[in-house]
Amino acid sequence: MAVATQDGSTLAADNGEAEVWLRGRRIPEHWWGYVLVAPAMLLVLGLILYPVIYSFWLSVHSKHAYLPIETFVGLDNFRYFLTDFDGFWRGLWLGTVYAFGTVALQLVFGVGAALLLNQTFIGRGFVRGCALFPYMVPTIVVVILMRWILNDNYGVLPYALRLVGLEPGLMLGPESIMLSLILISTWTYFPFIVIGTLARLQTIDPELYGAAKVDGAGPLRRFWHITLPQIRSVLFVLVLLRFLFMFTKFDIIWLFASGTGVGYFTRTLPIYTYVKTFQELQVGMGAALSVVIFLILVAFALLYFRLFKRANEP
Amino acid sequence: MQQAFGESRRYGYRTLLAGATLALLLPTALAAQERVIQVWHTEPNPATKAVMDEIIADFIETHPDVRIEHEAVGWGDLDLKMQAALAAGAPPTLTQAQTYVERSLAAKGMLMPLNDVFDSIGRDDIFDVINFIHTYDDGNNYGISHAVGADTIIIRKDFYREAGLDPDTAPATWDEWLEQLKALTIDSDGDGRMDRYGLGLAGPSFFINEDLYMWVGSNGGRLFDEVGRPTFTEPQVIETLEFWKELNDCCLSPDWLSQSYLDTFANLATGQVASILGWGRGTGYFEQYAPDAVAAGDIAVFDSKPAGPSGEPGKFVTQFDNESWIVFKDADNADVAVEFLEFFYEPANYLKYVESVPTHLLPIRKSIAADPAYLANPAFEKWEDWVQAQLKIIAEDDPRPLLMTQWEDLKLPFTAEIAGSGILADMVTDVVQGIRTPMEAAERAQGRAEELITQLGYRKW
Repeated sequence: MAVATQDGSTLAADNGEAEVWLRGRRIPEHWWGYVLVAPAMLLVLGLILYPVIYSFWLSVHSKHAYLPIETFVGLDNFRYFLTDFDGFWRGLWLGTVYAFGTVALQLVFGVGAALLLNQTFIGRGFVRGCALFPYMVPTIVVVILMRWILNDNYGVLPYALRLVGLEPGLMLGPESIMLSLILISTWTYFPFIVIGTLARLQTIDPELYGAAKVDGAGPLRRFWHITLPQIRSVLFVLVLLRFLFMFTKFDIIWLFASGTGVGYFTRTLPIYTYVKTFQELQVGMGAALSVVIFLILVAFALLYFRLFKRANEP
Repeated sequence: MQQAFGESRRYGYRTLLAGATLALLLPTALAAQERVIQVWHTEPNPATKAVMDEIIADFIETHPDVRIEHEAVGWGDLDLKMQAALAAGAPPTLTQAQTYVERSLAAKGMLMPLNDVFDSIGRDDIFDVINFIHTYDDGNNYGISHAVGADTIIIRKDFYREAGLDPDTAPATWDEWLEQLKALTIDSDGDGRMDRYGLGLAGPSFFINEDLYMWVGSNGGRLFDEVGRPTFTEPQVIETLEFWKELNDCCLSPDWLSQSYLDTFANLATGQVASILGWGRGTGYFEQYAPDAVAAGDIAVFDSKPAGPSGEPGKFVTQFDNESWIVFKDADNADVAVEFLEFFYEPANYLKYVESVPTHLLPIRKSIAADPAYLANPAFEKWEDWVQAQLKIIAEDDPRPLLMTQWEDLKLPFTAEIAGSGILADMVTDVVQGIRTPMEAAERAQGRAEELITQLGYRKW
């Protein structure tokens, strides 16, 4: 092995490990590994670990958003949320409804669309491109368009439904705002499931389907006994990711409903965290909420792995 | 040859090094000389924005070392943007803000006194109410209104006439108003679905806060007592919530909670509602989207608002639109922002500014208000009633800044936090949606507000 010596030439160390000499002192070569990794580690520490630790630190303090004063309050912020039924518990419930609702629908429509797009037909490439379109539209555009379409006074959808004799009710009203939000979110994010599932579908050996057909299996049985087992591992990851994304979703919920009176009916935990931090200006409370959300998601991920990972192992 | 090449290379290295050093240092040196300020204003209206561009360009011409980065922010969004910027520690140098934001920030020692701006205008030339609002106990001025206006009930006269109502007679009491609004809410084709509602309100929390404090004030009530304790369970507030519920059930556009402020203007322009609450800037909107109604003189405003059952007849609270300019004292180049404000209020510049939306931006300078050049603006003839209604309200009816049901509320340091918290909007939503009775909703809001004030360290009871 080539190593550097005091005079700049290189030698092989007896133990096989490369050596470096610096000002007369021998430095094992594996130290260079640390040195080279250090910038990346510093970045990780600075950009990921520091904010997380700072968030934990803030969560045990009472701090006004823009006054440089903080007071240590221990676990008071967390204790507050235990009995905060209108804020925290309601937000947890609404967030759970939103996350489960959107993920379930994304799964159904995403897998369905992927199965269709895996078939051979004229214009398949174009249709595949169209299927990805909702995911490419900026959230603000989606929200403006949808609020326009669903508006009770001049929206095209209520108008069309009334033309055919149906009364849609208030699609942006308090009673249906969550449903509208779930449907819009599903439309926006289901291509994520399509991409993942379609990629896996394309790697399934066609001979499996051929053999199943020979054995007399119909489309439903082929889906159940061949397709589903093959895509199960992909769906396992996709569902986990989508749930984490949807439970922490902020932009579309905020833009679609929050800030108005009906925002009361879509105030999920991330929105409530924003309200605490930036509107009530209580950064300590907001940090405590973010820590709680983090812990909820860790618990969910652990439970999810425990329940479903074994079922996905070959 | 080789030596010559070596020297040439060394020379090249030196030149390169010198060039690189110069390239690194030059921008720093230039940046050190350049004084940059960030300005947010609440007039995204193209005409006002163009005037702001012009005023800024003129200022820079006389201050070549200054760069002004300016942004027009819709005033419904300003509070949110400001709070996020403050929490991130990156507020602009100079911004417009609601009075309660100015008061909250001044109480926290974050604002720069603008006494020089007042002096440069001449305090005698500023309307008394502006001097009063922006003069603090320590004698300093921490903000100055950019312009003034008043919130009014905007109606469609043609719909009033159709309903057999006199469009020139404003309702004096809530009962009278309800009767009017019921008559204006109609199912014209008999299909069981209302085709027009009496009143359209905007649903964002910001506007619910507005309506609530105006109605509580018009009902002889208040939102906070002498020591700043919330008074949401007082009878005047409960009556207001009951009134709101009744209004919601009979006469409000049913999706009002999800309607934006501009939606309400669209609804009035297209005849979905017969009246709304709003500001003079709406004239431009109607000219564009309801030209026939404008030409027929059917867009009009009342010069008063009705009083609630516990209020005094003829006395009402409406919003005094008097957003302030404020300067953050710790911002870089705060002194430049003060210089810019002095320039902004110079007669020629200020005249251009208020004339950009003459029906909305009424001047704070007496000399401008009386200036024949200003009064000759054609918009005043076209929208004379609207302007006169605002002037009458400002002169005679004691309108108050947002969330101030009484002038003593100016001293409360936590109004911005209450406004942003959504507590008031939740209380109203609870009631109009039938989730809680007015008293239950008020008690819940009272508890939340007291808790918030306590957590912020401002509890004094």
